[in-house]
Parts: sequence; C-alpha cells; structure tokens
Amino acid sequence: MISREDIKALNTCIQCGTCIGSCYSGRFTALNTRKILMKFIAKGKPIEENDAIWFCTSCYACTERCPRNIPLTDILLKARRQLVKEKGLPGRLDKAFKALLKTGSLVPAKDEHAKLREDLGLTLYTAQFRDDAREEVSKIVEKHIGGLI
Amino acid sequence: MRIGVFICHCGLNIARSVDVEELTEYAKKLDDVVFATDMKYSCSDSGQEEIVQTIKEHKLDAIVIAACSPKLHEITFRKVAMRAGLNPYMVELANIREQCSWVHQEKPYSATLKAKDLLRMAVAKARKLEALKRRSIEVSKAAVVIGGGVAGIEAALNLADTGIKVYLIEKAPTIGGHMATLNEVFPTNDCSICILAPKMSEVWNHDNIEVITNAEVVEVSGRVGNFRVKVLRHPRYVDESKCKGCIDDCSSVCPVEVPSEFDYTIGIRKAIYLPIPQSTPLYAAIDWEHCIGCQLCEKTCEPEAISFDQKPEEIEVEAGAIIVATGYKAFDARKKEEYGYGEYKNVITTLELERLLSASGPTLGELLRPSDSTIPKRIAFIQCVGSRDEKTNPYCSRVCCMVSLKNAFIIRERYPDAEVTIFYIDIRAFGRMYEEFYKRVQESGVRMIRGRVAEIWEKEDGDLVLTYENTLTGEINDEEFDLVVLSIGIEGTNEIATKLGISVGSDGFFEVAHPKLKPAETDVKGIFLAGAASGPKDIQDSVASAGLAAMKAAQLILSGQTEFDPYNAYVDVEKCTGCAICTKVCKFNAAFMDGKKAKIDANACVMCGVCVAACPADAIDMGFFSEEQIKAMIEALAEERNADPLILAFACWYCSYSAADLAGTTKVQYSPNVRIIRTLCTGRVDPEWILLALEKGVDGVIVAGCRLGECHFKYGNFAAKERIEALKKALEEAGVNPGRVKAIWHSAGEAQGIAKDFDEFVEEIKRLGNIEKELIS
Repeated sequence: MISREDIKALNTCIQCGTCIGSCYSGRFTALNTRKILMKFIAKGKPIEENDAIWFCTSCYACTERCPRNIPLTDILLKARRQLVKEKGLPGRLDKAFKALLKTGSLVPAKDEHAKLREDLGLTLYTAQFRDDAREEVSKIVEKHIGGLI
Repeated sequence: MRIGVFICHCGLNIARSVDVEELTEYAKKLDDVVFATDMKYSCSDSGQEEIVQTIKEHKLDAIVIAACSPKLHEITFRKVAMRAGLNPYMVELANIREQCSWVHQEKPYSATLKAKDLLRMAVAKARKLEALKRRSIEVSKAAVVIGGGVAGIEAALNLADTGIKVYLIEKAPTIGGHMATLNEVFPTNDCSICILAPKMSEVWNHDNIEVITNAEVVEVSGRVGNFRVKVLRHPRYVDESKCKGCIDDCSSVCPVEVPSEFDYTIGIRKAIYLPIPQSTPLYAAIDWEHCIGCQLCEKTCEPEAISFDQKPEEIEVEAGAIIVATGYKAFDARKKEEYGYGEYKNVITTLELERLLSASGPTLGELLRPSDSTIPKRIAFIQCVGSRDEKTNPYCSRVCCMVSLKNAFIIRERYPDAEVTIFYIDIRAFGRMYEEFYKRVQESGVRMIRGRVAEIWEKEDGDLVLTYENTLTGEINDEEFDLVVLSIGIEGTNEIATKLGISVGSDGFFEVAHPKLKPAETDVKGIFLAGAASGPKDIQDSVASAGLAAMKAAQLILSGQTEFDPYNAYVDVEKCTGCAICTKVCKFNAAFMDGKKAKIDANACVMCGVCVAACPADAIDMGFFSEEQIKAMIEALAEERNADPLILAFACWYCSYSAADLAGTTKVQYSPNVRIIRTLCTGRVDPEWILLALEKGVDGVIVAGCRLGECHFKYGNFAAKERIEALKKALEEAGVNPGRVKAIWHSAGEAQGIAKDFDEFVEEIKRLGNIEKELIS
C-alpha cells in the first residue's frame, strides 16, 4: 500500500520533469511519470488510476535522479500491487501468469529442445524440462497470485 | 523582606476569567507580602507611577507584578523599580495573562486557582531575589575581518571609516574574492571589477586597514572585547618593497604552467603570477606548490624583487570583534555525473563562463568553446545544478537564476546569431529590478524551457545532446547544443568554524543568532557574519549584510565596553571539587580550570545553565535563575493542591515559553492543570528539581525546550534530553512511573503543538492517578 510517508514525498514534487526525462520506457510508451504526479498533486488522482504505470520497467533511473528524493519507482510498484488486488492482472500479464502456472515457464520447451540439449550434453534442470521444478514454480505462482489469475 | 504585589486587570484581558479581587485578597495573606493591590493597567504611565510611589511609601525590597508575559513588560517594570530606587533585578513577574486568563477563558474558577499558584510561586522567588549588577568589560579598539571578498572589503571600510583599526585577512595573494573575477553583474550589467577595484584600492590605502594577504587564520583565542587571532602569512617570495607589479618580465620566462584558479581552471597561469590584472596589492606572487626553483625569474627581474629567502611568518593581532566574511565555494559539478562535467569538454560552469566573457579572461572576452576554440552557436544553461536537489544541496542558491539570465542576455548582445536556451524549474528573480530584468532577457529572444535536463551525451565532434522534458508541453526531446553552461550552486566555507567556536547549519553555512532579527550575529559574542558566509547572497545582499555586521561590531567596539544581563553562571570555589565536568559540558569555552578549581568566564558565558545543572557538587549557580529561587518556586507550588492532577512544566525562554505565550495570544485553550516555570534553557533543568516536585506531590513534570537541533544554545536541549532519559530509568527503579516525566520540544511558533502536548500529558497523568501512592510504595 502507498503509505502516508509516500504521500508526503509525492506532495513535494516540483514538476521539474527529471523523472520522465530520465525514463527509458517513457520515450517509447505512454508513460509520463511527471504527469502522473501532476494529476496526483493537482487533482488528487490516485497513482493507481493511471494504467500507464504498467510501462515502468523498474530501472530506478527516475528515483536515482529525482531532486526531491521521491521513491517514485517503489511507489509505482506499490500502486501496481494495489491495482492487481483491486482489478486483477491486466490482459497480457494475466496470460503470462496463466502460462507460468500451467507450464512453469513463460516459454514452454518442446520435446525437440529437450532432445537438442541432451545431444549437446547439457543438463535439463529448469522448470521448462523437469516436472518437479515445474511443480515448484506453479506452487510459487499459486501461492502469491493464485487467486488473481 | 518587604514584598509588594501588584495585580493587573489588563482591562478585562485578565479580569474576565481571573477573579482579580479574590487574588488580591489572597496575596495579602502570603508571608512577607506587606502590600497588595489590583490595578486597571499596571503598564500605563499612571500605573507605573503608582508602583513607584508604593515602593517608596512602603519601603518595598522586592515587587511581584502579576500581569502579562515577562516577554512584554519585564524590562518596563525593571525600569519602574529603578525609578523607585530599587535594584532592577528585585522584580518578578507572574504571567497570569498569556499563560492563564487567555488559555483558560472558559474555566474562570480553575483560572483563578492557577493564578493563585503562579502568584504564590512568584512571591516565593521574590523572597530569594538578590540585587544584581549589570556587568561590563573593556573592548579593544580593533577588528579582524576574515576574508577579502566584497563583503569583507565593505565591512573593513565601514569599520575603518569610524576610526577603528581593521586587520583584513585574505588567503589569496589578492583581495577581491569571487567578485573580482566576474564579468558583468546583474541587474545593471556593470563591469564587476570596474566597481570593485576602486574599493579594493581604498582598502589597501586606508590608514586604518592593514591588509594581510596570502594568509590564513590558525588560531583564535580570547573572548569578546579581547580576541587574539593568530595568522600565518605564507611567503610570496617576492619583496613587496621592490616589486613594481610589471609581471611580464618574470612570468614570461617562467617555464611552469598551471591551470589558474582565478580563471576557475579554464585558463592558465605561471608559477610566478598576478592572480588578476587588478590584483591588490599589485605584487607578483610565487606559487610555492608549483615553482620548480629554476630561478629564471630572479635573473630577469630588474628591481631584484624575487626573494627565495622569505619564510612563513606568524602574526598575532588583538581585536574587540571579529567579522567572518569567508564567502562561499562553488558547487563541484562533477558530483552530477549525468551532466558529464569534467569529462565533456564543452560542459562548463557559470564561473568558467564569467572568465570566458571577461575582457581580462583567458580568451580576452571572446566566447570560445573549450574543445575546439570555436564560437558556439547553440548554448544551453542548466539551472539548479547543486541547488534544490536533495542529492546535493537541498537549498536554493538564490543567485544562479539571475546569473544565467544575465549571461544569456550578454551572449545574445554580443553574438546576435547565438541561440540561447535556459532550462529552469522556476525562475527566482526576487530582488529589486530583477523581474524587470528577466522580462528584458525574454524580450531579447532567449528561449526559456521549463524542465530540468535529465542527462547529457557527448558526440564525437564535441557537441552535446541534452535529454529533457519540456514540462509545459509534455514533450520529451533530445536536442543538440554546442556549449552547455551548468548554473552551479554555492556552498558554505565553514573550515574555520571550529577555530572560532561558531556553529554551522545543516546546509554548511554559518548559523546566525536569529534568522530574522539577528542576521549578523553568531552565538559567540563579538563574532559577526558578513556576506555569503551566512547563506547564499548576491552582491547587493552581501554588501548590505557586511554593512550590518560592521555596524554591530562598531557598536560593540566604539562603546568601549559591553554590558550583560547578569544571569551568567559562577563557581563557588569553596564547594568546587575540581572534577572539571563543567569544562566538558560547556560548548562555549566559558568554563575552564584555574589550577584545581573551575572558573567561568562571565564574558564568554552564554547563560544556558547547562554547567549549573551538571555540577555534581552544586558548586555552580547563576543569576536570577538560581537553584534556591527555582526550588522555592517548586516548593511553593506544592504547598496547595489547586489542580488534580497537578502538573509542572519547565519551559525554556527562547522556544517553548514563547510557544506557550503564543497559545495565549492566539487563545488556544488547554488544560488549566499546568503551571509553568521559566528557565533560560532546558539544559538548566536539574533532575533534582523534577525529583523535588514529584516528592512534594506534583503528579507530573514536563520539560519543554526548543526543537532538537534548534536550541538557542545549540546543545542545551540535547543535554536535557539525556538527563531526562537517565532520570526516567532511575525513577522506574525507584518504583515511580517514568511516564510522570516528559520532554517535549517546540519552536516558538508551535502554540497548537504545545497546547496539545499539555492536554495529552494531563490525560496520561490522569490515567496514572495521583503520585502519592507511588511515593508511599
């Protein structure tokens, strides 16, 4: 949850634009962290109500450079968590986690891949190949976000 | 002791909630009170006259005035006492307005009971009052000014013109400071050195000023009135009596080239050099760190001025006052890695630009970019580099906005083809004629982009790519420039702080005695601040502040002596065991060992009372806030039980007492169970007092000081905090709930805060119940 301390920090934003100027994602996506903050300060719009926060790659460049020391990346991540709790995962992520739950990996391996590795003398140790590892990954996914998928 | 009591109605301000007649009758019954009366307005002329007559008629030894806060009229009533032939310190006030009638408006019954307590306590203190003498000491008729920038120059001239001898100490070989290296100065854009050089020369030629260059302060001892300043003068290896300042002969043959600090390393100088053409004094200097000793200069110097035999020289001067005008240092832009300063050649700082634009600079005033000496066309200024940035300096450096506007304007003037952009967060053009200047700059076609540049990349040809968001359009851009100027902030130079014993704020600048009303004074008597030493200032403000510092120093020096309220701490030599604890707790060098006994320099004592409370032998006491007087007040309070629970608060004069007064002025209501005793500092609060109060049946004790880190005496409330924490542990072991003692910290403005703390504490103590049962167990 976004804490009282976070809100205090968000309120100190001086709208200098360093965050978005430093944002590697924002250059190519709809993410504009400064505008998210602006709407928060000016209109009280909760950070969670900005769908663009899903474009944050959590590289922490904005946090590194923010002249007001606002822990922006952490706050965006918290906002995402809140968003997921309330509305569930957005479409693509939902698909990705479903795949993870079912197959233990985002890119399931095919038999030919397993054979290729065997031919090359490589061990089969990841959840892509081994049932026990797959079950472990599924359990982890189930445990943390099982109800949301 | 014959005590007279005067109870003021203050119109209805007091009389509306306190029963003044009843209080007067009550006063008459108190021991030693030989006279008591109520008055409509005790501070009015007729009221004052009535008091004077009564003192004479009834031969009073001491008077108690129950009226408003001592902050308001203590001095008034002391003067009244003097007019009646009474010692001014035989007056005690009971604050029944700000801290009673105004804060308990809806509880007249409780307010009257509380007023009785406050009055009884004041009378108890009055019984123990002693006549005190205002003290004074002789002041030496000289001043030391440390730092020869514009502030130091201004202060020195002001002082010297009044006839005071001034020693101006400068670490560089020339006076002039930063200002001497600037190009043109806002908002009038006059040439900086042209307006400064005449003052530099005036200082040098002034009969009352001794300029000591190439020198540093190594030690400061003594006290206000008689400081002794030890100065180390480094040799310049040039005989000042022979050097003609021609410089060309010697420096042209010098094989050593070093980046010139007077060009902020963007130009070069020789090992024998003049810092700037207008150097004052106009003598060459040899830089002993870089000279290789080839002696070529010695051979070419016709007047034979080179003198390698010179040795460092220690000078000691005596002064009544010291003015610290040590100025600022520029922010080191390398700390902002994303801007590449130090790596990218064409990223320069404000000060470097000043030298590039200056006719006496390395390019003789031509704006050439460092990488290829071409004239840049696209120039960017980045504001707030090292300012308004929690990662470097959180404060605003105040001057950089105007500096960049001014330089952008000059570039547009000299190079009409240049495209100049200023990247800013906010433009702060706060001074007179500044906003108007800003408008002129806008009119001149300087592009203003609101946004803080995120990062800079250097291209192979030395051009620079800036990534930024224009926050007004919301566009994120990569844009190329030929030259980037970082508008660097300014930082405090506080290296000398420990030598002087003055304090440094969290921002690195010297702390002033009061941010509004004492901007030139420090906590150490006789040491004053001029210019940027006490915070970022432009030239105008530096000069103004230097004038004030000089005035304050002159006031001290010219009066020939300086006076004090005699509240200072003193040692009872009989009782002193020589443990030297006082010398350790005193942060102001006032307590020292004189043989095996402690001694307190009354002139250096700041009157915080920390040593008084710390002395394990009770050998130290202080005037007007003596051990005996305060204990008498505590005992008097406990004589009657006029509130349940009964709470005592010790409040420091500078913050919490003022906060409680402000609660009164703004009519913030709080529980009438609290009675306040004033001390000058919470550091004076002796844990014994708290124990005494609890023993006598006071249910809870509050110690209210300044906010931590904001103590008027810097460390007093930290001492109090430590003692209270220790006391709480001791109480717990003794079976007394430590919750009965509480420390709170408030600034003078926190009326609501202190009222809330009082109320909460009363509730907490209500829950704990009366102290009696704990004392029995």
